[in-house]
Amino acid sequence: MSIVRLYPVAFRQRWGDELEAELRAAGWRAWPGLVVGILDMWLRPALWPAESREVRRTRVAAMAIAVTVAGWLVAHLTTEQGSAGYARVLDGCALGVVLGLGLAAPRPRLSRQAFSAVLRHAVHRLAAPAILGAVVLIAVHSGLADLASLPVRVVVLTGWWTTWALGVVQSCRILVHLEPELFLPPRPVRSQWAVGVLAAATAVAAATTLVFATAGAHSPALATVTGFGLLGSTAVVAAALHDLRHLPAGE
Amino acid sequence: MQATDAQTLVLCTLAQGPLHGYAINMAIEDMTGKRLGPGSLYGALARLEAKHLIEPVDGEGRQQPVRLTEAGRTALEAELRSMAQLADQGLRRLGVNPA
Repeated sequence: MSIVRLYPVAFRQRWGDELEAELRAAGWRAWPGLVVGILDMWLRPALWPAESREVRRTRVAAMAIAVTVAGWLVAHLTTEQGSAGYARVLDGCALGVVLGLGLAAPRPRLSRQAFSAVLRHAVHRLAAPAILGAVVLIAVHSGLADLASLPVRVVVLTGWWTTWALGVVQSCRILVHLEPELFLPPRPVRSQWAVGVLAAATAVAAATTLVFATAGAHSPALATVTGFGLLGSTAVVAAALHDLRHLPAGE
Repeated sequence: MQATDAQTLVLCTLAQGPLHGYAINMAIEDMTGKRLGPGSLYGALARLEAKHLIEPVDGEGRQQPVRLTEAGRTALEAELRSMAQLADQGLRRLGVNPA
């Protein structure tokens, strides 16, 4: 497998063949630069080739949602052993994510086709996380899973967090695959608010983790590193907001 | 314009007409003695296209040449004038005749 396959699909479709040829000519010495380029492109979806500004805006929003939720999950896992106050703050962040998703989501046109498309996408993309989540809930509430056993607890927790992670990834995929003829894209200002809210939620998650690191973490070093990592995520979402505000007109 | 060095180099090579990625890098090597890494080159091309400073033209096979847009030409001229002014002032301060 060529490393070029790690670029986003839209980028690969536009530049992939030429990039492959350049890479063959340059050899392995080009790999470090290419890895940086791949990371850079994944974090700057506004730059991917696109047929319209709406597509760029939706991609930026999807990336911001994915980064914010990943940050929220990590912050939750890090502060899990802390007091209930941390969980309450992070629940507030989760509301921010939901608000951001609501602001960034295209609105279905008032037609049967649009609503059946929403249903089709939801069933197709969200069936797997919904089933996994249901299995975990049934296992826990029916007593089938013996939570006193450490391996069972690890499996249950892994299943639970995988459900959420999968749900978010699939929600982002729904967002970018909605048919433009059936859905009204969000206005530019609404998209900017969506990403702004997500940036704020990520910043709060980072601050919560850093406070936890200095006041009661069992492993302060790990919590500190995580907190600074989340600050990095905040910078990524803030950069996405900057890109949104500076999309050129004319597409 | 706030172009990076790589973006300015790409714009310079396109000033005389459309080129595809490989030819752009060859032209950059002719100008500077060094080629850009593939990650830098195609990152610069993606950025310039997103800013509408370059645009694709029909090509043959798998290679799609790009050309400067009107905005790209204006941006390149502004960038080069600014660089020339800076070079001029720097040389004067060194006591070297810019001409």
